[in-house]
Amino acid sequence: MSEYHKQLFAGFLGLLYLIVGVAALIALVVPDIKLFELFGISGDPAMGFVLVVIGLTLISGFFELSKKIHEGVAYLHVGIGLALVFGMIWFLSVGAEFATLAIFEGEEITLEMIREAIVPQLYLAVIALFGFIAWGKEFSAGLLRD
Amino acid sequence: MSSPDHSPVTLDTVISGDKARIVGVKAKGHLRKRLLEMGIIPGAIIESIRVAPLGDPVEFRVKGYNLSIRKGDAACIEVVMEVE
Amino acid sequence: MKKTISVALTGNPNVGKTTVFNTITGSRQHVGNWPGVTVEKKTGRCEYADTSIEVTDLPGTYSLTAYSADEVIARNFIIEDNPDVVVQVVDASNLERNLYLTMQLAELGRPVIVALNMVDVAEGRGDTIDEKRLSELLAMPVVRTVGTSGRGLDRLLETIIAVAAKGEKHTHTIGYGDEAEALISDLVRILDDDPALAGGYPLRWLAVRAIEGDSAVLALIEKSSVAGAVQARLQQIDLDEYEALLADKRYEAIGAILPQACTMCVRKMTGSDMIDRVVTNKYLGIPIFLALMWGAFQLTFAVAEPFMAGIEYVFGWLGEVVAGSIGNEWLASLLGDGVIGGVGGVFVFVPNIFILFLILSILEGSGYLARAAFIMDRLMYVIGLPGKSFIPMLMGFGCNVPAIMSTRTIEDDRDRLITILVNPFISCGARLPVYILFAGVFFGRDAGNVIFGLYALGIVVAILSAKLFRCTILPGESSPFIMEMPPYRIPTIKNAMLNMWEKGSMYLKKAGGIILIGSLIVWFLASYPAGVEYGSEESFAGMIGHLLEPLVSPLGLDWKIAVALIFGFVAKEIVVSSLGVLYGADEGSAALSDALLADPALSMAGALAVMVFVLLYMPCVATLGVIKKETGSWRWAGFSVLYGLVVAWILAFATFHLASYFLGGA
Repeated sequence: MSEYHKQLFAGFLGLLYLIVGVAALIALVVPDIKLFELFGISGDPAMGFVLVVIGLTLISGFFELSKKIHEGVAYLHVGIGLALVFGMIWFLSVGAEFATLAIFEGEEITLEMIREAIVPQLYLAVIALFGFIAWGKEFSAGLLRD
Repeated sequence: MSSPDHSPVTLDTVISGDKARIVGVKAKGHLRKRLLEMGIIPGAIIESIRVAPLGDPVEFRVKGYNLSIRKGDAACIEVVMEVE
Repeated sequence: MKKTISVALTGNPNVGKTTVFNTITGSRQHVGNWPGVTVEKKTGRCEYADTSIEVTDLPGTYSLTAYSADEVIARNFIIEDNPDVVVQVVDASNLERNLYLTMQLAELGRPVIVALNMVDVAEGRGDTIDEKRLSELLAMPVVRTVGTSGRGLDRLLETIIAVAAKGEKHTHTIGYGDEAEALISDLVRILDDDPALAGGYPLRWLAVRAIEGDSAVLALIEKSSVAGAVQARLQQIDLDEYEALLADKRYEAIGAILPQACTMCVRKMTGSDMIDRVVTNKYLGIPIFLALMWGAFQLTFAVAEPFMAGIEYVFGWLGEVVAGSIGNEWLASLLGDGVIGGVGGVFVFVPNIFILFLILSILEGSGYLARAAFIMDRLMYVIGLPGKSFIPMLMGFGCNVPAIMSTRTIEDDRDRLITILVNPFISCGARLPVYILFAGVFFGRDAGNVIFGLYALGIVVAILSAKLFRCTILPGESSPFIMEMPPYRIPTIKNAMLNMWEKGSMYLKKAGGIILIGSLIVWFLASYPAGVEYGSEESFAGMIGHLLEPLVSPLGLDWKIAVALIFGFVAKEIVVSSLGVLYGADEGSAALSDALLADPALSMAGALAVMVFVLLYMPCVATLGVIKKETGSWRWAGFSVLYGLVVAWILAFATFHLASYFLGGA
């Protein structure tokens, strides 16, 4: 039962990551797509690549789990891990950028800027966080502490 | 229990998932010492685990731990296949 | 008076040795270098039950042959410094391979204690280890420890004190079988005739090492009075066969011990294997690696931004305060522009370096670094470098200083040296402003392509140089890639922080002085002779620029560029601001662009030549400082300057003339 939940979660989150990742790559070539702006997607090759990689990892997990290959959960866990890591990286980078602007360049951080900083990398990581809360313990129990 | 075919092959030809018994280490010098002290010694059982994405090196399991060796170096190691 | 006991801490890599060391000594650590080599030497102190225990953390090794610097250090320390007790940290979940080192340690004759670490992991997996039986079989004390929680460390310290008080030498060694034993006892008899050898070393150990062809031991015997006799005895046998025999017997002895002291002790498919199926997957492995590297890069350089701005702000403010409060103009400039500017130049890299080392120690502590090397090895092998060289190369695009410091993860000295020497050709972030200025002014819409071409050129030069060094000054195959793939672990914050602090403060201590001196020299050249405007044509720098004009004119450049290039030595982005001074235009403003365009001495081809030269010419003073520090000699630092200048000149020359031909204007 739980395996089935994991499979669904991997498929669902993987698809989301893949879609926004491809969108970020499309936005590179086609500028000003209103729908993309609504979801904070802008043309960025590196970010698009990262999102696609996370998406593919999770989707691989979905396919393995659907073939009843138990080891497929590793794709789900690695995918969730990557999603959280990159969410955190974005959060820290934006925080650093805002700090530089506010402290050293005397600029005010507007609501608009904060809205622009909410990108797929960040809000999708929040969804991944639920997966981590649900299954993170069982996953890290399999690892050793240094 | 013994393998149906006793003719030795080199370790780099062992496919992922297969087990083999080491019969000889043909390397010289530094490489030979390194291999011996890491447990690549005649008589040891070695299992091929997986190949790196670009086809080289290969990860093996020997003496209860995993180590990776380049195919070129693995070619110096003679093994006979083990059948489970 | 308190007693002091000296302890050598040894063990395989990836067994939690550093954690045990950190837990025992806490912050009472001292990090230095072993004499003559760049391997770190860590010592620490701890007080326990009225005894002062001085712990030396030896480099992690799989054995005590003398091939790598690490092994020589570990061995020499145990033999020559005569520690009271040797403690080997052993990974209880991987006993078989770990005990190989124990077998070798036993032969050195020092009292050895085995710290059975990570028992929790091993037993969690279903192994049961009978440490009393193991202790009997090995004839040495065995203590269970869990480094992370500190469990068992008191017992370990008590055992250390008890063993040191007894002061007995370890005498129990394994037998190598009749044939080998006959040979060993023959050799021992011969060696015993030389009183110099007999006094200093365990003879059995010398004999065994001589059979195994240990170059350091053979050299020692060569100098003794019994050299001929030993040679004669060794020539009677097939050494290769004996070498394998000895290794075999050690593992055989372990094989005899293990089943009596440990049940199960065999690995199953673990969480680690499952993760590896994903991160070294045929299709996903490389993309995941690249994504993680991009993330590491992003973190290192983006998150450091406010800290760097803060450091620049503080030093800028300090400089102004000092300059404003000192009446004497000369002194104000020395302190303001020279000293404070120089110190600021040292400190500005601290955030980068701290963050990078935090990330690297997390990657290494988690076990991912070994997978990264596994994935990239094939690609780097083409260049003649090990897989681990990839990360420093990538980091070089941000800044060469932390990149060169990150080569510490590469074990082999030659591999490491080549990786360091080619790193300055990887175009760091500080060179970008120069490209933006020149490419923007002279190439307009094509600026992006020109800049991309420069980055590509840097990579090509780095690859070709690596090949060249491998064929000429540092010959030989890249070292055999036989790497343990340690199981994944959750790295501890304490270890990561300690590691970050160590590396960061090391940079300040060692490289800081060199960077400061370099900055002061440039300040002097720019401000003298007395009374000239800072960095103007009349200053020494300007004069040198004129002097160098014949050298740069074949590249289509004049003295002003030569002066700017001299300033670029401090930091490459300064090329832009010093051009501003020389052309009498504010930096970054349209005035400088116009002035450059209007300068009849500069053509499109010349602009290309400038950019190629800035890309390649010499490492900036900070990079030079770390090259000196990491290679341990001025020789290599000097070499990298010379090599860079020659390559830059040749390629800039070729660029200028080819571009003149194709673009038409000269």
